[in-house]
Amino acid sequence: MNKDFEISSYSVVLLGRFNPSIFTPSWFEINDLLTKSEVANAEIEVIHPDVSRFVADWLTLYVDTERFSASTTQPPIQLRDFIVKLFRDYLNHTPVHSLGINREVHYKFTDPKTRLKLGRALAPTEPWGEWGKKIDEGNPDLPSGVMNVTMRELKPSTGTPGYTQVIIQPSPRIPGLTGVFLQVNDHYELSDKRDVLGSNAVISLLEEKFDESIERTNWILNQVLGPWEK
Amino acid sequence: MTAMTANLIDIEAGSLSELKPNVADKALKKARYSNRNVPDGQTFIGSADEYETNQKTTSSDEQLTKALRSTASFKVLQEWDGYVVSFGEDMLVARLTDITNAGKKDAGEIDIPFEELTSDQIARIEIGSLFRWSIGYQLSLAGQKTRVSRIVLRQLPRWRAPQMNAAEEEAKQIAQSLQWA
Repeated sequence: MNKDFEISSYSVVLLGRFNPSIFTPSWFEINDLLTKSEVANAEIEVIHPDVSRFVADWLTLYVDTERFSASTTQPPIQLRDFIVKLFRDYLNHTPVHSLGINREVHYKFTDPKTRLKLGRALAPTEPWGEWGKKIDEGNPDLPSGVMNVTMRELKPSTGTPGYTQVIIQPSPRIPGLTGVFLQVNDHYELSDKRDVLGSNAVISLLEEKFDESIERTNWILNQVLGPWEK
Repeated sequence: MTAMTANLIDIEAGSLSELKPNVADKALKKARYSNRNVPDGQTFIGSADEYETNQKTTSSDEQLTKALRSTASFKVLQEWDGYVVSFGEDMLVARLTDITNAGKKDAGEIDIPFEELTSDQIARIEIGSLFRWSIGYQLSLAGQKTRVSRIVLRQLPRWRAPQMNAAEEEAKQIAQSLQWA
């Protein structure tokens, strides 16, 4: 069962060599990757040879010379199709060597105590000695504690190199000491980044792994958050 | 003038910096800075992990700030994959597969009125069009919960000659391996 997240987004990040100035809303419209109405209301922050960034309806796009990042808060299928079509049909000679399939959520616990329990379980104060005791004995209305936990699982050595990484932090977007931010990064990279001639290898990975990755992300979020609220 | 052209700073290579240096610097700095995972106000200036940081495939939550104004999250209750069997002036007939919790492979045919689609989508409808239909709750940042039905027409890449040839070859092999009783 998926949880109710206050904020939930999906993103796909590609690393390689990009030409940011071609990534304009009108270019996407001309090539049928975005519709006329999506483009008409696009908000452009910057389009420049070094960086391009805009929001068009469901899509938030950021591109610099080494990084392509597309995000959405809507169901992720549109994001997958958009990127696959973009690189398969128009940018298949663009060198891309790494892929990240990401999920970011902000979750609100019913009370601050539950969030503190999760924080203490992830980072117990005992190993911190006397300082840990002081952290425990601090102001109960404004408890001190963990600010960032990163857990990484390496991919099996038989497949494409990479890892699944989860970051947990207090949520800066949810007030009242009840929010946590979780970021799941499913990262893949080609074995030899220097020999990459195009985007086909990474886009094939995206096609192959996307659904499985999103499903696994939901499972991880449920594993981490599930035990703390019944 | 559309919002797009009104907000467009410049797309000509190099001219942005020459004409409006402050605007260019500010926009570039903001765009680059907010793409890194360094929260505002953090006072450290790099680390041994700096090279790796640049190679990470995460994105910044801050990038979504504008998008969050319309939708903060979407919780799917039910989803189907479908394809268009036929369509008329104001509705289409589609065949569905339930993809929620390993649902029915063939969930039958359904009439979908064009009110469920945007005018751009209606213009793209043809027999065989694939789509994903999601029903769920959309949450705003203010906490407003709205029940939403969202249809996304699938955008699949064009078939290319090598793929067509490979598919044809595979079909031939399957046909040859069939043994009729």
